[in-house]
Amino acid sequence: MANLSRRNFLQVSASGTALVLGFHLRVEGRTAAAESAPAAETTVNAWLRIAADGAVTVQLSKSEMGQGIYSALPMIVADEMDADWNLVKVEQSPPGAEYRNPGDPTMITGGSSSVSGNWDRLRQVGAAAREMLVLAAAKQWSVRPADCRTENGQVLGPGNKRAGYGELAAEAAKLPPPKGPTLKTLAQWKLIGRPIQTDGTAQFAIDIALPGMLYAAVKTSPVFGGDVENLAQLQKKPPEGVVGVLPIPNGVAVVADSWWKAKEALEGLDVRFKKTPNDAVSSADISKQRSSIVTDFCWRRIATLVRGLIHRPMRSPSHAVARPVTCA
Amino acid sequence: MIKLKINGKDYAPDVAPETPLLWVLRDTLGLTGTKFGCGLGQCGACTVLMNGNAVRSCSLAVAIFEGKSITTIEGLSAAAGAHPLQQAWVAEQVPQCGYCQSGQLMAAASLLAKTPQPTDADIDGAMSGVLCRCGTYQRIRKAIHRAAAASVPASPATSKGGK
Repeated sequence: MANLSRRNFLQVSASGTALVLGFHLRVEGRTAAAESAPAAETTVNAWLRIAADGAVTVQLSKSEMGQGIYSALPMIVADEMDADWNLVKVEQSPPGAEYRNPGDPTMITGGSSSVSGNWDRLRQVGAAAREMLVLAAAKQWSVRPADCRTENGQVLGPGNKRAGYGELAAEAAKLPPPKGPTLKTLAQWKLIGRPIQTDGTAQFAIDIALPGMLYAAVKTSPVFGGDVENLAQLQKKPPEGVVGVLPIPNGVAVVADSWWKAKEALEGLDVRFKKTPNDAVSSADISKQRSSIVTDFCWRRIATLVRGLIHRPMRSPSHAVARPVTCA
Repeated sequence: MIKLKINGKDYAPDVAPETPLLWVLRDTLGLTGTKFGCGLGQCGACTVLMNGNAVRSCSLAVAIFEGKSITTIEGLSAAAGAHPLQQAWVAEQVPQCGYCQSGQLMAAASLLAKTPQPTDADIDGAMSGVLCRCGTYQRIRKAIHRAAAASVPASPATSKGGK
């Protein structure tokens, strides 16, 4: 049961009738050394907002890339809070200096750090919100906080009293955040730890099906700046089953009512690209260009070292995913 | 019209006979539990059972499946999540992102149906064609051993039939 110390800086503000708790998310993982303390004390780059209508919004300065943190991070807060999960939303902060990681010039998400490095703090934020809401209800009802409990977005008090979090938000916003909120035990979690489905029902981006949805297969120029030369010819007689052949930047898209039909139709088309000056550029040409750029930098003393580094072949299997990148 | 028997049910989709089964399952029949990963038969995400044998549905034409019994992840168990493998998967907390797990489970189901008490080498042989980018391989192995130890014949829910 950790204290809400300066390291877990929590700021309360009232935004109209909403309760807003500001805190910070960091990019260091669980086992990393403590982050720069002064920066952590004053950084607020994430918010928990409980609105008068009961909507719970978690605003994050992190990026969802299919790793699931837009579910996981709000779930941690929501579980400790006993929020109604159906009323929980996640929002992404726009790019901006005010949303940076503490002591860091970036908003970077990575290093498998989002859950492991912020787990304790997210729990405390949720637990703090819960205690503030209970305190607000207890004050209104003139009962002891210890005689109240929370469930699914409501505070329940003696004598069948109940109030939704939204109703209590404005009053709760007047209270200071608790120093050491009580965290749930493992057995008390309702959201955290629920197993993922093993029956194929979990929805991924590729599984989204909207009414009348169509699928496209695309072909783009093999070099930068290339454009399709024979679009009119491609569009003249669309292959069977194809809804349309459309121009896209530097290429063409074939649209059909199934991905396979679109892909097959595209492969059957003779797509030709206009000539560009980039057509003749080789890997050796690119290497030479990079070398001359590096030498021109003021890093002359380390130019040799950098040249050695930049000639590594592009290989980043650590960033390749199994799932197709879908534009759903 | 191609006549198919999937998870014990009859279907007759109007598709070109050379369409890979994967796309008939997903786009025509709405059975999206089977996933697309590479389209080359190299990643195993598309694994289904044909007469109990694990096959890569992205690389086989739907016409091949006429008269055969197809089992997909949706049909692994009559009651959702009840197959010993699915229970072992939850007990061992196998899935991370979850995308490859349909293919993993179908390949594992086929293995256990033929080899109820597989060795690690048996598991390697049957499972190495299904890739997991999240690296859950150790837990997959543990879960297969766990399901095998449960000593329930781990055969798929639908009967094997056809040619």
